[in-house]
Amino acid sequence: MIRCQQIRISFGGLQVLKGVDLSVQEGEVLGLMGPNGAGKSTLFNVLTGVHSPDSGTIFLKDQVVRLRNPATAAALGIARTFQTPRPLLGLSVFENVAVATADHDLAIRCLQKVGLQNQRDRDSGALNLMDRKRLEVARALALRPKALLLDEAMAGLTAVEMEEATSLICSLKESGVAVVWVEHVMGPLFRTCDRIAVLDQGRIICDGTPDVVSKNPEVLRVYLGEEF
Amino acid sequence: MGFSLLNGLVLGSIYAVSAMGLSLIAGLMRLVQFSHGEFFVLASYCFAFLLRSGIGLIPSLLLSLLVSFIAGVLTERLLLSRAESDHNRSMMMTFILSIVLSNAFLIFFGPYPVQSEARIDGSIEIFPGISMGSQRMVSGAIAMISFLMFYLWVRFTRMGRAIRAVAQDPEVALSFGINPVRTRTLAFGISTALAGLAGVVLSPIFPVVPDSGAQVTLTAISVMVIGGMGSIRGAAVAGLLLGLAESLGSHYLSTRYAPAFGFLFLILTLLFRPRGLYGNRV
Amino acid sequence: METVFNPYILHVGIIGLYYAILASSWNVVAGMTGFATYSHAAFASLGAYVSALITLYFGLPILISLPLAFFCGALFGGLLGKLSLRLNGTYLALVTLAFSELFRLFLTNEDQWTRGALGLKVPLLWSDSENGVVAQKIAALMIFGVVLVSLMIFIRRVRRSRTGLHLRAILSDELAAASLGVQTEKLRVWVFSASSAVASLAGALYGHYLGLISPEMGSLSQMFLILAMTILGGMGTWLGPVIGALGLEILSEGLRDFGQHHVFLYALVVLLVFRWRPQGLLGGRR
Repeated sequence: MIRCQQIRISFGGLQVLKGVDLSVQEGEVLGLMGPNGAGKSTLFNVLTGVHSPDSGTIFLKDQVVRLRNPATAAALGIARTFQTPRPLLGLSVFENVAVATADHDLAIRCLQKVGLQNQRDRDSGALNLMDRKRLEVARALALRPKALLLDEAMAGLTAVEMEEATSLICSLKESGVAVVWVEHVMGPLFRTCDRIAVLDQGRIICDGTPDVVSKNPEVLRVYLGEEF
Repeated sequence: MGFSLLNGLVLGSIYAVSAMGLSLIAGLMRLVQFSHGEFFVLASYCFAFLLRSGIGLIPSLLLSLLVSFIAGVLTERLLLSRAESDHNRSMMMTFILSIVLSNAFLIFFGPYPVQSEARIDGSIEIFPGISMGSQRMVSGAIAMISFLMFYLWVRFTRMGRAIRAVAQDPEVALSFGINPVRTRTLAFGISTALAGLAGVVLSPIFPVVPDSGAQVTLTAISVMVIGGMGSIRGAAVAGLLLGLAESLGSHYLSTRYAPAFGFLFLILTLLFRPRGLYGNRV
Repeated sequence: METVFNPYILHVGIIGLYYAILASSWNVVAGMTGFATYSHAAFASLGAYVSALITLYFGLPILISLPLAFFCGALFGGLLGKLSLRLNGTYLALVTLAFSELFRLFLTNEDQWTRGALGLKVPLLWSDSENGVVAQKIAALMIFGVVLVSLMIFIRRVRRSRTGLHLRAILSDELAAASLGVQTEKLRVWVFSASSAVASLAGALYGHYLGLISPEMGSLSQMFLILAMTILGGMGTWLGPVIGALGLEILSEGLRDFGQHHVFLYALVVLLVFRWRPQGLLGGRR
């Protein structure tokens, strides 16, 4: 569904991504992990149109796409959530979703999918963290995305909330969206993802099923000391 | 040509001095202090007034700077400290303040320009065939010395380092025992005092009227942005560049468009390299 | 009956409406979309001079020069918007400020055409003085009134539309809005263009009403007035700028008795309100 090939980008002389290849199919959840500074956020930004890569290609449904800016990416069907949720303050919950789509019924369905339909008229600024994250997903879904990129969905959540969030992500598989999930918290990642890619210093060092990744010596080396 | 160059240097160093206080505050509080020029004007009038009352050159100078300093501290405490994080709002506040102050000056000091008695007459011949008014030379020299002293002060004294620390990271500064709130207030007072210094130094050369504040502010802003917000070194380089450009431009092109140089460079900087010469990446 | 229709009161009313148009149109780009520009007054002067020069030197009727002034405002406003796409907050304020001061310098210096600071005499809306001053002023009041009302209706319509929702989204968080598919760049340029066009039209009308224009029309002091009126009325609200403009204009006239002090007092009031009630009269809690 969404694929990138040999993505290279550098900032101020520092090569952050050194030729990254990645692909995700419809209905697949790809986990993306890596130590701090590996380039996860940068890759995320490249895939969502925030930065243009110096070289490399991005494919959406096997068509080459140029993501000039985030709006272009959204128009093409690439949706994203933010690590720290960014609700559109001053707009209600419903209005937040309505920004992404003119279809009233679709907006309601997206809110229902994440469980926010009863709060639709509330000011989005009044939501707690978990609900804000739900809103992020609802908004993204309203774009009818082909690919959904989640930025550290687990950040700041309690164990119970993490369970809820994880099952929500699982349910996304059914809709046929390709999901890329960048994450630090590994438990949910390993339990949910069909495949995991590990990024280290701008390169993918391992790409396979959670089982394969958990046994990969280089991955273990990079995460020395971490327990799964 | 030679005169233009020399004049440009003098002008440039005065521009640099008038911008360095502004740059300091921009780096520290991320604020473009729109009423900067008003403190310039305030000190000019005070200086002239105090001189006429006969208390002597140095005391007049020091008192004028003190007046600017206190006015700055009051401004920061009363008007700015609450809106600190909202930069747009703070800039608007200083914009409104500049209108209040320039009209206050009009009422208080009347519409007449500053009558400075510290004028030094005569001229000095620097190079064969190139002479310049002594007042201009002295003003330029004072400006350059002040600039150097300020640069050293920011670099090496405890207070200077405290300001830079708070500018970089207020929380870390706090953990070192530096009080960010008090530092900001003090720094603001210093920046307005510096504006005052520029006013005292410049008023014998150019006529200063109650309205002059806006023009001074705009020039200082241009210098600051071109040099890079928060960079004292940048203020120096940009000030000199601008002074030279204006001086040479007036000589070869047209005097009426002299102020256009500042605006033009400002626009070019903002469009192509917003961080300026020495500023941090925007 | 006579007191209402006295020329002085009508004149104050017209000026109030002029500023209401300027404040409302600035409010759209600054208060409703979040881009605080400092070039709005300059566009008013652009419109005034374009219309003046077209009628004076090309002999075209005002009915033609007005739309041309509007179009010029739209064109240059859009250009400015496009140029400043990557700039925000302070940098945007500064670049728009620099352009407007540059323009004012240009107007002052090119005095063989513009008569510089001396001011340019402009053809009046009605040349025949047979109609009487009062009738002329009433007509001018109605024209400004129609422009203002049309503007307000248009703004209200836009606010309620999908575009209005997108503008509110941009105001809240430009990046988040973009990632939701809002065409932030295109909208930004459109809003700049539209608001500048209205300012230019208002400026042109004002010029033909007063009969005399000067570069002062686009000065920082004028920009201050627009800013102050919008803030005091309530930045981002629909009716706020209009109330602010009319209110401040009445205040200004009321303070005229204080002579020299009146601008100072006026500015001081604005400062105090901005300090202690920055959301203005009609603005809600942020």
